[in-house]
Amino acid sequence: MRILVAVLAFLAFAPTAGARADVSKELVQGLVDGNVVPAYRAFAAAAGTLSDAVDDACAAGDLATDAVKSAFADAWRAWAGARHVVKGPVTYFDRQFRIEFWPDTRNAITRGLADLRAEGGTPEIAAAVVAVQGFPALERVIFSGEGANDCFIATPIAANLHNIAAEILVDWTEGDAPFRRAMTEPGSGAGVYFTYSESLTALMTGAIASLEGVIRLRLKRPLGEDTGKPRPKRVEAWRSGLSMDLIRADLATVADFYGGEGERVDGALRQNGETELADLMTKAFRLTQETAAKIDTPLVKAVTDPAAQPVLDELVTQVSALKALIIQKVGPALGISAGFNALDGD
Amino acid sequence: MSHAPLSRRAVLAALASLPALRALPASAAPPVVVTTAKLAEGGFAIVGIDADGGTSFVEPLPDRGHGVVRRPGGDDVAVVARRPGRFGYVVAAETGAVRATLDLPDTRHYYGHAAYSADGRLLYTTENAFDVDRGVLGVWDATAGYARIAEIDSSGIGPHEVRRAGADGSLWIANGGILTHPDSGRIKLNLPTMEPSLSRVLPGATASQRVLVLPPALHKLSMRHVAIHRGTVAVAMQYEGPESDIVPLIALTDTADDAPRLLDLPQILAMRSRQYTGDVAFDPSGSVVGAGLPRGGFFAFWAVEGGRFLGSVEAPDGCAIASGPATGRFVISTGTGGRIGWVSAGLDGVAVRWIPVPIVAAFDNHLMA
Repeated sequence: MRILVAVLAFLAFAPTAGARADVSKELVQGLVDGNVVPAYRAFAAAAGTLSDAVDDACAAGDLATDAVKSAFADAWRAWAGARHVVKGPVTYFDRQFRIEFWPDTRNAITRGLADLRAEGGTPEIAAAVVAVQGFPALERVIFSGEGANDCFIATPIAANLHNIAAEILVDWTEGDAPFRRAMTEPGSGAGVYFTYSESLTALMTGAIASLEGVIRLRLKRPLGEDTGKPRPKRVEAWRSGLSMDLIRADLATVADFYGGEGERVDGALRQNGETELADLMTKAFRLTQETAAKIDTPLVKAVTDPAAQPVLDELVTQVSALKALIIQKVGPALGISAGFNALDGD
Repeated sequence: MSHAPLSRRAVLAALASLPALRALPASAAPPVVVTTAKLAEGGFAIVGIDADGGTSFVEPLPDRGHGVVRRPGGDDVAVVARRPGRFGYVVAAETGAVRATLDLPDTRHYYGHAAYSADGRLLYTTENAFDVDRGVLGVWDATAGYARIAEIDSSGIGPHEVRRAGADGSLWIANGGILTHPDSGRIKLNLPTMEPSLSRVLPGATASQRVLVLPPALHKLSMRHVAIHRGTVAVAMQYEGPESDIVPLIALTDTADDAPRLLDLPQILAMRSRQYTGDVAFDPSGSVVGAGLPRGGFFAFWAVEGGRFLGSVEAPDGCAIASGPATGRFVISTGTGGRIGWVSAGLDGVAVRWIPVPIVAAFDNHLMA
């Protein structure tokens, strides 16, 4: 808990940074080429392996093989390593929702899968309802479905995931107007950003949204913190038991965004003389990831286990502290800030 | 890091103990603008600002407020919380003194806007009925201490702004179409299938009807704010698709005509806008319509007839806009830097005169002038 005291003291007393040097081209390039594009490259590769594994299993008259489960876990983790990016190609054609429609508060996946089963044949998944196109639908088919009888659904879902992942990578890196250029050459007409500050804001928005997703959707919502009543089936990926792995992947990619090898946010802070803040951030990321590593029972069990409660609460607190530090201190120290009225949807 | 809900009284007591706030200079001049804001000293309030940027009143609020609306034929002003907040008050227009508290059911939260009936008897507030995933108008009786007396289904998810048409007294509701739930904060739960709509409650009616749904290709244009002049309704929208899509952000619809007219921005402004508007208003003559685009950092103005773009005003995080005192005139404010602007917009172009307001750090998304 000592880190929390340090964070709160910092939030309360450290002066907010004044005007800073402009956001550097090197920082934006470092984040795009060192963090974002590699994350999408890994996701595309893992989705390809998953599609192949499903094809192989189904060709052998099976579905839920160890190879499929392992490739499924790798692919979903790789996606979790990229969902801290919320701008650009992932927003085209509802891709982020087609990859992972979750939370499903209206049971659209159950209904969508029932429709696919009733229709039979070879479903054209990319044209089906969004809810059945991604990981949560495939998870049901693999982990609580009808085995090889569901291959007619599993095969096109896996192939569609691979397609989407490959398209995102292409849209970022290839063609006449790759989104990479929109970010790294603001003002060139390649995109809607006009300054490096705007590019960085777009990237930071995703990192913050990812932490918010961990806090709100992945932890607090199943923990039932408002009602005091845990709801295990609100846990992400509870059927496959990947829930904590996905949270750890979220945190790992945001930690890399902050302070991985190469030009990152941490280096920019230190260049701006924000050593104290950078040290605190580094420590906060390390401790948060250590807390996440401690949870070794599946989250679907842990949310109802009183013994696990203190660690889960600590994780919520630490991720919340990280998010608050990024919004209130890191952003302003880099010369960017969320507007008061530009916030979402009011 | 979560905060226990604080009672208004506790918050007021705490704020009153701050010497800086107690020492705020309240001018004698009556307010020309009433709005919610974040104060320079910290904390949130509903404030009255006089013509010179001085402070007519400051009434603390427990958290961030949103829309404010004045009761016809009286000096009550209703103010409700920014979503997903749950406080609502009625204050005196000249002094900010609290006259009534709106007591909201547990399974509702505000979306941030309210409107009165033409006779001033009823107050309507846009709300999330999150136990049933529906949008509703809460109905309050101003003549009975603002007792809650009914609910009207808004004919859509996420009713954000409700405004009354001066001409016939009907209520117009912008249903944003976006499903949220307090247990997941402001995170959006239904973007792939969202279906925004504009609906209407006829005077005295107890039900609403949908009057406008955009074509399927534009189903991600969330209708959020409305302004009305005589028979024309302006709808201000926020796009939930890719930032790089260029889509119309203001729709003008005639109450007698189903096909909306969609207003365009010049390309650079359209790119800067991030496809996001935060407020909309007509000038008093109804010949000019203006909108605040806080993500783009500017206000934009169009001729209502013909839809020609007239010009823009640069304003960091600028959002709130209201009808001004004469033809072509508007009042605007900024979310960064606490300034109120007096705008003149017409075929000759757009000009603004800014007045700093020292006690305010950030003006909220809406104002009443």
